[in-house]
Amino acid sequence: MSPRPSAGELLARVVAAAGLGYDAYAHLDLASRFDANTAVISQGMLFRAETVLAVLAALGVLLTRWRAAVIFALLVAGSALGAVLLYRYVDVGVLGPLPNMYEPAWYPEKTLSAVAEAAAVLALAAQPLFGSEWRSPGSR
Amino acid sequence: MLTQPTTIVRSRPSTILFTMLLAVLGLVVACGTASNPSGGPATSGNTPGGAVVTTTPAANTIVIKNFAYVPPSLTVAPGTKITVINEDKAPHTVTATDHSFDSGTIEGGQRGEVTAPTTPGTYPYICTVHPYMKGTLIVQ
Ligand SMILES: [Cu+2]
Repeated sequence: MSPRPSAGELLARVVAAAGLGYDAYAHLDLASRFDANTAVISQGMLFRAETVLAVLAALGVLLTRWRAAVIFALLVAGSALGAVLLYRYVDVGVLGPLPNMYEPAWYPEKTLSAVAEAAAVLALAAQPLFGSEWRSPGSR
Repeated sequence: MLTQPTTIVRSRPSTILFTMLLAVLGLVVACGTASNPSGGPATSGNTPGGAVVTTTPAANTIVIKNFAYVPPSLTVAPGTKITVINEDKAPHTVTATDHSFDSGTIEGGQRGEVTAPTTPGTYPYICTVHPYMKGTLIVQ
């Protein structure tokens, strides 16, 4: 794939993948603790799904330069960050099939995963700045 | 007419990507299954050898582990001071639903205390951070 990505683009992609990677780890690590919180879907299963999505997103931005991969990763990291902030401060209640994931507390693993998600969002949002080298799947 | 071997060159990265995605998906599913055996005993009480460690808490003690109270039902004499040990990373509380006792927030790895009511009876309690965590204190 040429032209080769700039150092800045590479760095941003590595930051994004690392952020998504930690997000994936933290959600998998905590999942079993949240199995008891359930509506139609349990919070534990949502956490496992987040892990799968975050791993796919991280691989997408590391191994491809597809625009779709960046957008997908941005959606994954952004929704995770939005959710953790929302449920930290707002008692949302049960939302359709989703359990009430309100948890009015920060603790190291949760805080770090939120920071990692935020770093990923910033690094991904910066991708268009790398200009014409930003590819879409069909382009060569 | 010149035909360029673009198809071969372009199919390579996506084949590698696809294989890696499959591998990671498999890994995540395997990890999820291993850390959460269906029908098995509580997840993190297991020793590497596979033997189940049954935590027998000291008298007048509530241990919080993996978002659960151990024992789920504790019987004490009126006015007893009860030690609450939080072995999780997340903060928890022991809060009577009628507010007759409340440990306040106990951070991960810390201890707290509640004093049993002086009136005999059955007192359900919850964690205010995770209201789906439930326990019972019996005063007699
Ligand atoms: Cu709790």
